[in-house]
Amino acid sequence: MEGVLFLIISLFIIYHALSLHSFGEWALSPGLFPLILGVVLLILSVFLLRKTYGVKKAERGSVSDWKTTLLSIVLCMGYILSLPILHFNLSTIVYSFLFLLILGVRNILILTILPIGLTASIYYTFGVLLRVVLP
Amino acid sequence: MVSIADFFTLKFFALVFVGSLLGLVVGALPGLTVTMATALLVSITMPWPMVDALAVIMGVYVVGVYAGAISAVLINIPGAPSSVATTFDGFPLARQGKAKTALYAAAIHSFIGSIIGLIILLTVAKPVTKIALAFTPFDYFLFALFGLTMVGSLTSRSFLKGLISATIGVILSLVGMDPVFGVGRFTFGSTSLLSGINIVPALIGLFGFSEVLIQISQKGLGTIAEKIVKERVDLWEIIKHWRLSIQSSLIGTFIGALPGVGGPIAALMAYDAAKRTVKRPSKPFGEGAIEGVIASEAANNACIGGALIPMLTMAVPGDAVTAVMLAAFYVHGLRPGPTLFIQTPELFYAVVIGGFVGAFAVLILAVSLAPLLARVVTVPKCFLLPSVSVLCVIGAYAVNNSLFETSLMLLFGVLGFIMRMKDYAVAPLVLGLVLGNMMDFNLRKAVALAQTSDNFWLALVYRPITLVLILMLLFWLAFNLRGIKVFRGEGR
Repeated sequence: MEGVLFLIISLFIIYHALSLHSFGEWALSPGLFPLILGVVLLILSVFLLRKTYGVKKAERGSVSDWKTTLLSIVLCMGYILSLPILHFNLSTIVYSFLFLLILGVRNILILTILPIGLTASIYYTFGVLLRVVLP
Repeated sequence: MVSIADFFTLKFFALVFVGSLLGLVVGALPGLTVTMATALLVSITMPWPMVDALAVIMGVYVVGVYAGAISAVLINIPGAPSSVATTFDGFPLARQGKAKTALYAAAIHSFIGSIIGLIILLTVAKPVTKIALAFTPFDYFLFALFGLTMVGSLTSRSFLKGLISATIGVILSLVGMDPVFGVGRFTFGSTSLLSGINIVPALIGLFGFSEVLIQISQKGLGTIAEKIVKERVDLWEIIKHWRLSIQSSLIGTFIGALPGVGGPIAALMAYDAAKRTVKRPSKPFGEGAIEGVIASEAANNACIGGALIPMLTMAVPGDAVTAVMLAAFYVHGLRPGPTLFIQTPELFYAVVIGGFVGAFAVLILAVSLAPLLARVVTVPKCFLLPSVSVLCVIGAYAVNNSLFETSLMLLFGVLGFIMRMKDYAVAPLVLGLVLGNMMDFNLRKAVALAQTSDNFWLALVYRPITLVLILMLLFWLAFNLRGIKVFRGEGR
């Protein structure tokens, strides 16, 4: 599966590199290095396909909680999108509250104190002490 | 004229100590890496003078590498990849009620390792610079390639997957406007991508956010450690192994000086050497031998001085942290390399003296704060993860005050997560990302220069340094293929 994916990517890179080469000689062409990399990736993906063909999956890590992982990614995406609308303080409080809920925290005290404490400490450390511009 | 005395100021010392405290926290906490903290610091210290930024970064770097041993000893989870070998004997020592002995041994020999590595940096960096001045564009291309191939083979269990990871990293580094013709490469019409992929959000995503996702994906978010054992420490039992410490430090510095290898390999190789040279260890290796902790910790801290040599003299990072430090130089409009000592010698001294101060901070902090800070690992992970993810978002935003960089961080976080799940090492991708543009520029320059000569191939390769580099590249490729087999054998 991965081998096929890298094969498609390498073919796309070779195509893109060739389309870039309309500016003078190959020596200075913006497509020269991408073309070399595309060919290298193509060769490596063929090796990977050969290596994994007929072999059972033996991956190092295993995801036992796909639902929470995907929810965390979506939540972070929502957090980034909410930053220009709700600004740092409010969106961070809401984000960390929802994050804790996703992680299974149900204690009302923790759900209240942690998001506010986290937001306040980051705001003070980054925004006030280190003068970092916060969204 | 800059002198060493200029750095003996309260401000400089205070900045290194601030960095050291941060290094102690990020090093001790699994999930927070020194690389991530350095990446965050690059964005935070962007408006600062470069010397101040380097002082904080060196504090984080030296103490952070040591602090990885805290969680490695207490809970069998290396706080940093370079502390993997520390777990072999550190954790058995903790289970035998000797956690503090193991922690102090790690601190004292991390101090010795750091000092030896930095002395070698101080004495060897300038001669190396003279050699670097004779490098042609093609030599730089080969040197970068040399670093990439070694990362691909040594940081991943699969050589092939490591090479794929490095190739993808180099391809991603080409995203943006071509510096010669000004055409967009792999930008797909996006104006935001024309300036290329910023290394800082990419690093925060690949190391920081991907770690958050890994922790979430593998259920069991309870407390990390249950308790810290109280005991009396016999310091002589720790100090008497100074010969082993020097041996491991020399190994660590040598491995660190090889571009792209880094602390994990240095520590593993020093551990392996200790196993072969220590005839009568205090306990069998793997069952609580203090010698195992000493070898690993002296080597990974000595690696710092070694890793800084190619970074400062040739702008080729020795490991992931120096790759981020290289980004810090670029962010400040500076370029490490042969001219660093001529144009900005104060930066070289800031790195070295910052390192020395950081080494002393290891001792001070280990004695006073480490046992106390180690209790942080008793905090449930479900409280730490929201904090880390918010820090990732803020750190990425701080780079350009742009939400594009934040989205990029998220994207790289997910990419890093998938890669780690599929057993693709992230480090080769990072080095590819850092070195890619340099490789592209130098290759095109070298080919263009060689074309003006009568014999293209002779002009390209027929120089002593170039031939040596080609031989080194071929030798290391052959050595790595053999090395992987050895590591696989040990793994069983």
